Order: sequence, then structure tokens, then C-alpha cells
Amino acid sequence: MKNTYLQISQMITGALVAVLLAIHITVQQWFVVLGLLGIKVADPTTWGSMMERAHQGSWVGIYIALLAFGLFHALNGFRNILLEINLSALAIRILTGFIIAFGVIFLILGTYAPIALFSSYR
Amino acid sequence: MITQQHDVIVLGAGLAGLRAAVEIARKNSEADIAVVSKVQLMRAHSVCAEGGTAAVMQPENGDSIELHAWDTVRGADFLCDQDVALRFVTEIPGEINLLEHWGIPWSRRPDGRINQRAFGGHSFDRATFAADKTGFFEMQTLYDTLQRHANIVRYDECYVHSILVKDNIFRGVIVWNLTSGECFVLRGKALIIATGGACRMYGFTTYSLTATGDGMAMAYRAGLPLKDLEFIQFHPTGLVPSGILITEAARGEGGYLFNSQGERFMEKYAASKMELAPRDIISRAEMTEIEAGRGYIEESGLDYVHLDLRHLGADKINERLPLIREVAMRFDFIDPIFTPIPVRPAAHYTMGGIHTNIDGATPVTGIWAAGEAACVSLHGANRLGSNSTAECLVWGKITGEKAAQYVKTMKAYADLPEDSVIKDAESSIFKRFSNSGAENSYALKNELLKSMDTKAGVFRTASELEAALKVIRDIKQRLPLVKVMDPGRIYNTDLLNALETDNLIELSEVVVSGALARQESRGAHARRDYKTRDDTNWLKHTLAYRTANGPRLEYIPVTISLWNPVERKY
Amino acid sequence: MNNDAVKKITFRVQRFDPEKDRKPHFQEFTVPVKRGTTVMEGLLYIKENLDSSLAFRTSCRMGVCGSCGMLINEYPHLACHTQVEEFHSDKLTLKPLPNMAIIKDLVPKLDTLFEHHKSVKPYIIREDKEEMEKPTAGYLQKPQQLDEYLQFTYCIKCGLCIAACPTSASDKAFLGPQALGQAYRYCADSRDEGQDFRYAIVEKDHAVWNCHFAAACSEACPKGVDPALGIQLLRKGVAAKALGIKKTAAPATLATPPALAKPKIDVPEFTVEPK
Repeated sequence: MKNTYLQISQMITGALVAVLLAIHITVQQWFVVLGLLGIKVADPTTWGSMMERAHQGSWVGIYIALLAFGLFHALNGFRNILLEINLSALAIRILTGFIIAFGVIFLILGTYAPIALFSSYR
Repeated sequence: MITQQHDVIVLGAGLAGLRAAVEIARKNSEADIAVVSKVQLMRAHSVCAEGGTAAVMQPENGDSIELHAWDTVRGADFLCDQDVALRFVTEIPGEINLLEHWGIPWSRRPDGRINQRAFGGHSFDRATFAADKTGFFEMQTLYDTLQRHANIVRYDECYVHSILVKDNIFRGVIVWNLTSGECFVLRGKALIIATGGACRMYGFTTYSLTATGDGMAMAYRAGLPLKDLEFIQFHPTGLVPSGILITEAARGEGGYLFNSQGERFMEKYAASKMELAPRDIISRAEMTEIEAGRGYIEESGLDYVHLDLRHLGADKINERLPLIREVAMRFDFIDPIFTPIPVRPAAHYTMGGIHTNIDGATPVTGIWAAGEAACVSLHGANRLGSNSTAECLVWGKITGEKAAQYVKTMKAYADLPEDSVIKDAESSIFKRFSNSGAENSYALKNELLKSMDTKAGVFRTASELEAALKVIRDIKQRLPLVKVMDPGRIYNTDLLNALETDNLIELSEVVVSGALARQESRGAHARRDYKTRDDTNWLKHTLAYRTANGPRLEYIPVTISLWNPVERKY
Repeated sequence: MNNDAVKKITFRVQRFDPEKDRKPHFQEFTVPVKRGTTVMEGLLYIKENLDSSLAFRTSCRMGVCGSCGMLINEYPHLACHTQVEEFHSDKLTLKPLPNMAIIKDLVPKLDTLFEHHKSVKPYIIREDKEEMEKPTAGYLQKPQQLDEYLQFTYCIKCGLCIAACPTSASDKAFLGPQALGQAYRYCADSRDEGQDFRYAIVEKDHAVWNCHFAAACSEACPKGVDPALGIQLLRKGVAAKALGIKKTAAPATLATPPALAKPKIDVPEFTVEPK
């Protein structure tokens, strides 16, 4: 079942990354689009606006989720590609170990910043 | 030389061989089984069988095993052993269900039960079919079922050259592995020969290129008698010019035969059965029409008649005869939905073969034969369509069962013959490497094919048969001198062709000698100089034994246990 | 080309004799062809007239035995049912099927295909062991149920799909379109109950999840099988099962013979006295 669950997760995280990335890009760019239509909105790329979002729980959640899903999708996809070059069972184990370690380290690192920022607001 | 050993050696991996192997594996999971085949396991000629497998599956609609037996006996022109026919018709329905359980895609009736279609010479629509690739699907089902069993060792692309027999007991076979080049002794307790027929001795034939009667020839060389080999079936619908089989099911589904005058000529020859008369009758009718100038002229001399399927309509052709359409389009640029197919009689089946009893056992202890290679005397002088795949299944099963029992009781392997015998056998394979002669095995083979086509075909006369025998004996003299250009042992198909030609020449000599001796017309053996059946003198089987001066013929009686011979009329 | 015009075509054939050569080389032959000449007939012409040492497989010469798969002008075909004129070229380049070892000249080693095929349990698996051993009747299978898997039974194990498959080219352990297509064939058969066994095999490494869905296999298949579809449907089944949403129908049941019997068709009386 392992491969099947990994593949299902790959598909689901792919879809989720697409949705979350769409939210991210829309928010970052929508003031430009609205500006073209003559509606003035606050610039979301200013320091103040970013700090404001960093202190909203829902945004923190969205970014952590994007990070987690993106990391999984990218690293699992990378592993799938490498597995096609007929590695030995040991090499696969080592590769998988490296990839998991890499993912966990970046997940911790990437989650630490927004959580620290969020909790500093209290 | 290396020696391998297995309890049972199944020689040949067509329908009969695979069925036998599966049966041994089912009945004796301890038995160590070798399946030895000249080609890869799924390439045997059985995949070319198209139309169907006869079995009584619908007794509720009026069919009965007695009727199937009667059709078989009458179709055989009474040269069939009737106890064998009865055994056959009783066993085959079980085989149909067994294959069904093993996954064959039988064509179905709307309610999900197995469907059947009409076939020549049968009084009931009893050909069980899987579109028009019945043999292919049966092979695939048996091959796949074989994968279930662990006690089977495959010897793909291994040519067996001789059978080692001593004191009338089987000892082993000499094998040349084409892919590795090795030559070795395969020792065994039991051997099942299922290597198919020998119609590759004809040029215009429905046979695969690899079906060269090797098993019959090596059994004959090992001292086993060949039975009734003069009876060669000509299939009425071989595609012109390639000879590829156009299934009888094309007529079973309602196809018509027309001569060049636009007449459905079968009216004149078999008014009640028309295009569904037995094959020997239709083939003679076609040749009579062609010889009378009512055929279509073909530049190379393969004059033909038309098989017309147009009135069946596109839907029926696509559903029931897809392979026929594919073949006609691929090889003749003809779409049978719109154009009649050019056909003429093509050598299709050897009714005769290695002499066996009702259980498929040969006179040598430990050797069985099954399928077309064997002659259990089911088909007599003429086989009915759809009875051959059925025979392969039934006697594949029976011989498998018997061999499985036999190896259970035989604890030790019989001793191999002396080393010198084995050495001789090996050197007889490779001796042509040192030839310096100018003879070419392809030219000699083509000479044989031409003479068989023209002199030992649908109609025969003493003078033509004598001329054929002369050609055969001449080629036989020249064959040992053949120079093989390829000096290697790995996949040397040049040498293989020379060895196959050896086998064909041996067998064609038996065919022609038997035909010359049999002074009557019976079933597929039609003599212009002896036009009628002669039950007083010739209601008997021919047995041919090998001697240095050609075959020695003996005769044994036919088992008549149900019906006395009557006139055969359709 | 009109019917009888004979044209000279160059066959550029890859040769390799394991007993002499260290690597393959090419040799050219001139072959007369007319309308309807197949590539196989050209090869047989070379063997009978120009160089009898040329090795290739051939048997049924009607496209059903699967012996003669080879690369013709860099694409996998069955030589026996491919016409020379299909290529509209005066020169044909013939090579053995790729993604497999070469035994000699145009003869590839197909052992891996047979092993992979065997590994997916390509046979009917059922619970009713006794009925399977000693059948009492046929299982019922409606024509629609037959159609569910029928096209996958056309496989002749020629190896063209594997020669065309990009995944097979890079991943030698990949089960390949032939075996996976056959795994689906038995899973889709209404008589079968062995789906779970086969799912466990095809979801391992080097199997369904490694297919890139190039569908080159389906394009190359000479018998109209669509292995790529089979692989996709296997994926769907395997994933549905992992998520617990797979619906499995009960396997086919036995036919019961109809009670009403029509009178038998007349058979001539036995005329021999039983002994």
C-alpha cells in the first residue's frame, strides 16, 4: 500500500499546492489588477501589510500548509525520478533517509519563522 | 556432454503439449516437468487455429454425444476407430468447461452461456468458439494456467534431434539449445510427443513455417511406426497466394463459394450440406471446378475460386470474423465486406501420425504422443473441422494423466544408452559443418514442396505418385551433402533448416509410399485410378516402419464397434 | 506500385554474431519486392538466396504468433504483416527490438517479458477450488462482461510495447506494459477473484505508479491492445482500494442447464452387436 498512499498523497498535495499558491499569488497581485480597473486598494507588499497578515492565524496556517504540501510534493516527486535509475535497496533506503531529513529540517526551519512572529504579537 | 533430467519431458508446446503439461502438474505436484519447444512457448502453430472446438454443450437443444460420434465416424470415411471416437466425444465437453474456468474468452450467448456455431460435416451447431482466434485463445489460456504451477521447467527454443530408446524403453532425448548453442542429453522417465503435423512438405499450406513434423520424424527414426500418413487434409479455403488459413467458420457463419461463372458450385457435389460439407469433398469440388476451367486464373498457377462473405454484412464480419478481415486486408488488400476472397485448397492437416493406442501410448514404454503428431485414429481418412483442437485437449489431458501416473510408479531413471550412441546422435546434428558440397538446403526443400504440390495433392494417380517418390529419393540422396554456410552453434537457423528438411523428406516418403500402396479412394485420399472406396481390401490402417530402403508398410484392422460402414453421402 | 512491377529495395540489416563479433554492425542486401511483399518475405529471400546465416525469428507469417517483432526504420513492427511499400522508401533499416539483450542478428532475448508476465499471476483465481478442479458447468459471462476485458486478451507477447515504452528503456526492472496489461485483463474478468493478489504486486516499485503514460505501448501494439488504458484502470482500482472506496462485484456464477429438453436429433441405430 505504501506506494499507492504516496501516489495518492502526491496527487492530493499537488492539488492543494495549486489552490494555496493561487491564493498567495492572487493576494500578492490583486491590488495591481484592481488598480488597473481604477479601484485603489492598499498595497499588500508593504511591510505593514505583511506584518498584519503575519499576525492573523488563518494566514499563518495557509503559509505553513503551503510549505508542508510543497515540500512533500517536490521531494516525493524528486525521489520518484531518482528511483527510475535502478538503485539498490540500500541506496534507496539512504536516499529516502536523506530526503526525509531534508524535508523535516526545512519544515521546522520554515515553520519556526511565522510561528515566532505570530507569538511575538501576543 | 552435460545431462539434465526431468521426470516427464513434454516435447512441443502447442495445444496438446501445454494441455499435457498442465495435466501432469495438476495430477502430480511432485513431478518434475520439462516443456521443450523449438520455438518460444507461445509461438506454436496451434495459435493459428481459428474456427472452433467441437463439443456437445447443448443437449437441451437436441445435440447428443452419439450424434457427434456418428458425424466424426462418417466424416472419417469409416477409417476411424469407433471406441476412440466415443471416448473423444464423451471427454470434450469437460475440457470446454475446464478452459472456461481457466479464463478463455469464449464467445457467449446473450444470457451468458457459451455460444456455438455451425461447422462443416457436423449435424449440429457445436463448434465452441472465441471469435475467429479459438486456437490462439486456447493456447493463451493454457499458457497462462501453466504459470500457476511451480514444477515446470521451460526449455524455449530447444531443438530436439533424436529420441534415445533402448530395449523398447524410453531413456532421453538429445537437445540442441538454439539460444545458448549447447547440445545436451535431457534424460527422462516419460516423454510426450506433441510436435504437430507435417504439411510443411507442401508449398501451398496453411502451416506456420516452423511446423515441420520434427517429432514424427524422430519417432520414426527411433523405430516407432507412423500410421495412416497418406491421409493429408486439404483445407478448402487457403488464401491465395500466401496460403494463410481462412477459417471454415467463414462458411459456418454463412459464406458462399462461387466459381468464375458465378455458380454456387457446391450444389453439384453436396446438395444437402452445400458449403458445410466435409473438407475433403469441398476441396475436390474446388479442384474439379478449377481443372474444368471454371476457376479464376492466377499468374503463378494458383488458380482459385471465390469465398463470398458480402451478404453477411459488416457487423457480423467484424464480430465473428475479425481476423479473417484483418488477414484479407493486410495480405491481399481486399476487404471481405465489399469483395470476395480468393481461395483454393491448401495442405492443412496430417490425419496420420505416430501410432498410438486409445490412451495415446506408443509401442515404446514411456513414450506417449498427442495432438496432430499422434494418430490415435480419431480422424481416420478425413478430419472434421473443429475436431482437431478438441483432440489436442482430450489427448493432451489423457497422455498427461497417464504419464503422471507412470512417473509416480517409476522410482529410478532408466540408464542412458552407451556414450557412443549419444556421441553419434550429437555429431549427426553438426556433421554438415564439415561438408564442402554445393547442395543448398533451401533449393532442395523447394524442389520437395513443388513435387508434393503437383504430384501428391488433392487428386492422386499411380504415375504421379511414382514420379514424386523418385524426386523424394533423389533429394534424400543429396540432402546429407548440404553445405551449411553459418558455422556457429548459436541460433543457427541455416543448420536448423537443413535438419527440418531431413525430417520432411523422411515423412514425405512415407506419405507418398502409403498413398501409392492404397489402391482406393477414401476421405482425403482420392485416387483418379481407383475412384471408389474398397472396404473389402482397404478398411485398414497403414503402419509404416523405417528401414534403410524406405518405409516398410504393414496393416492393422480398424475398430468397428458401433456402426458398420455405409455409403458416405452429404 | 502497380501489381506486378518489381522494385529493388535495400535492406540494411543489423548483424551480430555472439561467437565472432564484439558489437553489432550493418550489412546491406538488395531485395526484389512487388505489391504485397512483406518485410518477412524480404528477409526469407535474403536467407534463401543471399546469406543463409542471417538469423531472425519467424513462424505463423500471419501476425498471430508474435515471433517476428523487430525495429523497422526505428519503429517496432511485426515483420510478417508489415508490407515493404508501407514505408515509401527504397531503403529499410532492420534492427532487433531494443530494451532487451540480443541473441544474434535480429533475435532479441525476451526472457524478461515472460518472467514479468508470470509475476503478475496471469490466471483465474477463485475461492471455489472444487469447482475449479472438476467443473460441473460453465460460469455465466454476458457479452458486455466479456467486452470489459476482451481487447486485453489479444496480446501475443511479441514485445513491441516494451520496445516502444520509454519507462522500460530507462528502468530495467519496470514490469512493462505487457505484464501490467495482462494483470488488468484478469482483474477485469468477471470470473476472477484474485484482484487483491495482483493489486499487491502492481503497486510495488517498478510497476503501475512508474508508468509515465506516454501511451507509446498502445500505439505500437500490432493487435490493437491498449495497455496504457489497462495501466490507468489498474491505478484507479489500486487507489480506490487503498482509500476503501473500491466496489467489488461477486464473481460469475455457474450456468444451470434449462429443464426443458427438446427431442434428440436422430442418430443412425448402432449396427454392430456389442461384444
